[in-house]
Order: sequence, then structure tokens, then C-alpha cells
Amino acid sequence: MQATEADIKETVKDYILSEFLPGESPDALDDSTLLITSGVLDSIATVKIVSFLEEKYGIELEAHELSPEYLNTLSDIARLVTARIAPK
Amino acid sequence: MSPIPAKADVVVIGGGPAGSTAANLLAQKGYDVVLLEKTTHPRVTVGESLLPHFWKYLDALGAADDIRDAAFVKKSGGTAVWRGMVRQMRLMDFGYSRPPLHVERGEFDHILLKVAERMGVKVFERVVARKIASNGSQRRVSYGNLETGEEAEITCRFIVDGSGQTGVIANQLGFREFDRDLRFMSVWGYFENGDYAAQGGLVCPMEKRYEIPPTTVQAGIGDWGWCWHIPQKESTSVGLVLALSQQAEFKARGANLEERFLEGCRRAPVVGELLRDATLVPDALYGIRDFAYHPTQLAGEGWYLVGDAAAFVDPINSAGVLTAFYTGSAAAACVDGSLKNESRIDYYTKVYSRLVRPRLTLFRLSALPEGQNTYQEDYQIALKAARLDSAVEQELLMVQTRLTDRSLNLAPLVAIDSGLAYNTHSNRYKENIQLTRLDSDEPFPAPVAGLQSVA
Repeated sequence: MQATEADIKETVKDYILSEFLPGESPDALDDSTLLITSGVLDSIATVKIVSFLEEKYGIELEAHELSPEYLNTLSDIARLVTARIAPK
Repeated sequence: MSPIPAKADVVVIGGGPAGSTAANLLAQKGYDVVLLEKTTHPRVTVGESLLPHFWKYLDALGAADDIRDAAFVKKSGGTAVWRGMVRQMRLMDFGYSRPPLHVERGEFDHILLKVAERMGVKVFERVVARKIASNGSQRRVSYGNLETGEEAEITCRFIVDGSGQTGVIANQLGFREFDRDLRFMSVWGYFENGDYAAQGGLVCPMEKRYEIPPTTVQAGIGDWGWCWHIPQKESTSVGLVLALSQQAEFKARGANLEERFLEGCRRAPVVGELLRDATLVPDALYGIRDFAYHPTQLAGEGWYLVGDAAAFVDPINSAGVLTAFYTGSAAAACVDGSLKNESRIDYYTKVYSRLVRPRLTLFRLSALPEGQNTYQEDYQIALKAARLDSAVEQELLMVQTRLTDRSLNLAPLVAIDSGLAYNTHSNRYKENIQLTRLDSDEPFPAPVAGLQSVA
């Protein structure tokens, strides 16, 4: 079954919390928390998140998509991944 | 010493902060990493002022406790003496909870290398990497073992080049371009005793350095040159950075390098006064010239350039070690991704360039003397890095560059994107500080406005 946007948001949230915010309460992140522009994630973290997404969902992203435009919130990330999983 | 293996997943060239960082992070991921270092640590190297965001890299490396235990001098911020004006900034005002440091790089780099070894990196000192070769998905690094005289090679899948100014890969492949806008020479040495500048315009004797944290002093010399003053555990690092056009005058100031250096320091505003009762550590003067360069390519078929092996600019913004940590971490993330999925090697090569090139460009712009940039496309490239930095890092860079006159080079960025934090809160520094000696109401001699060159 294909992952829904809600599943993706949950999975990515868990990943971010364990990888970049150990010890932080899950309440610290919601769908619209600004991840990159507020400094939660630095640019190297975005590389790791994209590696994680590629491995997890079997998708491929482009180098130029590593930007706040596509990855700044959990909602942005879920939208990007859903669009890429969708049948071509 | 165990024998150097014939095979590894990754070979890292160079055991400075950039090489140690990449090697450490990849070993933590479980890869087989061999690091070749041509010297023996601790080795002499310059670049001692560290901004507080370096701690997040130490956390990732598992080195934060080791560095804390080394008890380096904590600094509080910066003092700039520029065109007759004294300005001070406090790093605490930016919300950092851990202190910026002044470190002896020999000791600092040695600790990082030992931590990398603890994480599983196989470190070999006195082994000089000579050339790289590529064949399909296989890479080879040929090396000379300076202990045994043996010449041999290691087969691996990826190479991270952190060989500093030597630039093993960049020189072999002809990727290094010297920067025609940053034609400088630098001479530096170490002083014992003397005074330092603390917050609030206070001038203190060296024995107070653990009680009243020092600032890093930067004093402008003429339109282009400047001088640094960095108090450390035992001595103070002082260096002159001069435009090549100031060189003739510098040379005329003494019979030998030591005399010229002492005279240059004595004439630097404020720094000259701080060093009035200080003594130069003998036989420890260093110099380089024409040192700024950048690569035409940052990563390629199975290799990545990190730290100074990639690029070097004027060290005015204390960004050298941070850039080493950043590029070392970025290369480790890219090599890890490539090793997990070899069909994505090209993607990670592109990703690395997209992350690192704008950042190097941003530092270059922020280090250039006012109005001295012949690469107009740089503003658009630097903007990409500026947008990825957190608001506090953006703001810090702006405040640093406003202490001197280098912020004028960043003004076009704000014009392109008014959303950058560069223009908010950037009044977090105090102007026209009156310097006064501790336990005295006597004002320190004011810097002279409009200093001409070294004179």
C-alpha cells in the first residue's frame, strides 16, 4: 500500500527527532515547523534526510531539490515525496 | 605501527580538522577508513580563533568532552580597530550557550585526530599521499612511507582529500586557481606576556586571561592589510596580513624578518600598545604569500576536496576551522550516501558542490577588501549559502563584517533578498569603545585614523 502524506510526515518526524534532536519532545515539531530557515536542520542534515527518503521510499530526488523551497516543513517534505512516489 | 592495509572503503588524505572530521564520521558509520598524514602530530599550524558554532560539530565527532578538558582560553567576542574607530561585539549576545575559544592548533588538531582513531579510523603518520588514480568504481592512492622509505598504494572506493595547502588532488588534476583579488602575504609569530583587550574596553595583563575572557583583536593596516591578536594558554598569536602592494614598505622596515615583523606589530594600532611589554617567542616566525585560491571542481569521480585542500581566503572571519568541519561533514554524508547506493555517485558529487561552492563564495565575499570583487556572478552564488544558514549565523556574519569594513561586500546580497537576517539586529556591537587599562582610569592611546599602509 502506498504511504499517505500523514504516514510520511510521521516517519520523517521520527527520523528527524532521533537523528538531529535527540532528547527533544515530539511536541517540538509540528507539520509547519520551519526546519531549515529556523536553524533546526543545517544544510548537511538536508543531505541526510534526502538519503533517508530515497532509501525508505525508493525514490530519486534532484540535487537542486535540497533547498528550503522543497524541504522546509514536514508538509513540504511529504508533498515532495508523494509527488515522486506517484505513478509516472 | 601496524602495516598500512592494501585496501579500505575510504582513504582520507591529511589529519587536520577537515580530514579528521570526514574520517571520524565515516568510521562511526562502520566503514573501513585509512587516514594518511604526512607529518607527526602535534604539528605547527595557525588559525586559532573559533566561533561558538563549532561545538555542534564536536558533538557529532564525540570530541566535545576532550576539547573541554583541554582547557583552552575562552574568548568573549571581538574587538576591531578600523579606520580610527574601536568596535566590540559579544558572542553571548547571539544566544550561544557554549564559549568560543582561542586554541593552540597543534594541540586542538591532535585531539581531533586521536578521537578519530578512537572511533576506528586507522591513522598512519609520516605517510605522504602522492597521486590518485581511478578505474571504474575503484580508486587507488599511491603513497610514500617516510619512516620505511616504502612506496606502495591503497585500493579504495572513495578518497577524501584534506591535504591543506598541498592540495594533492587539486594540483594533480590542475583544479586550483589562485585568487587575483586576494593577493596577500602573511607573517605571524607568538608573544609572551603583554596585554589583551576584554569587553567594555578593558585592557588586561595576560595573567588575567582565565578570569576576564579576552577578545580577538583585529586591527586594520592601511586600506587592505590587518593584524590579528589572539591570546592563548601560554602565548599570544599575532599576525600581519598585508597586501602585496604593502610589501616593499614592510621590507624596508628592518634588516631581517624578525625586525620587520616586530616593527609591523609595533605600528599596528592598539595591537602595538598591547604588545608594548611583550616578548617575541624566538625562532617561531612563519610566513606565506599569495595564499588565496579556489578550485574549479570540488568533487569528482570518487573524490572530495575538504578544508584548505579545497579553498583558502583571507582568515579575517575566523572561518577556517569551521569550513573544515563543514566540508568534512558534508563529504562524509555524501560518501556515505554514495557507498549505500552506487548508482547515485553523480548525484552526491553535485550535492556536495551545491552545498560547498556557495559557502566558500560567501566567505570569500565577506573577507575581501571593500569593493574588490571581479567575479560579479558571486553574489547570486553566495546567496544560496546565505539562505541555508540559520538566522543567527547570518546575523553573526553581518556583525563580524560590520566591525571592519568588509560588510560592504555583503550589501548586494541584502539588496537581492531582503528576507536575509543580515539587516536585522545587526546593531549588536558597540562603537567607539574607549580602551582603559585595568585598575587605572588612564585612557589607552586612541587609534590613529586614516593610517597609511604599515607606516
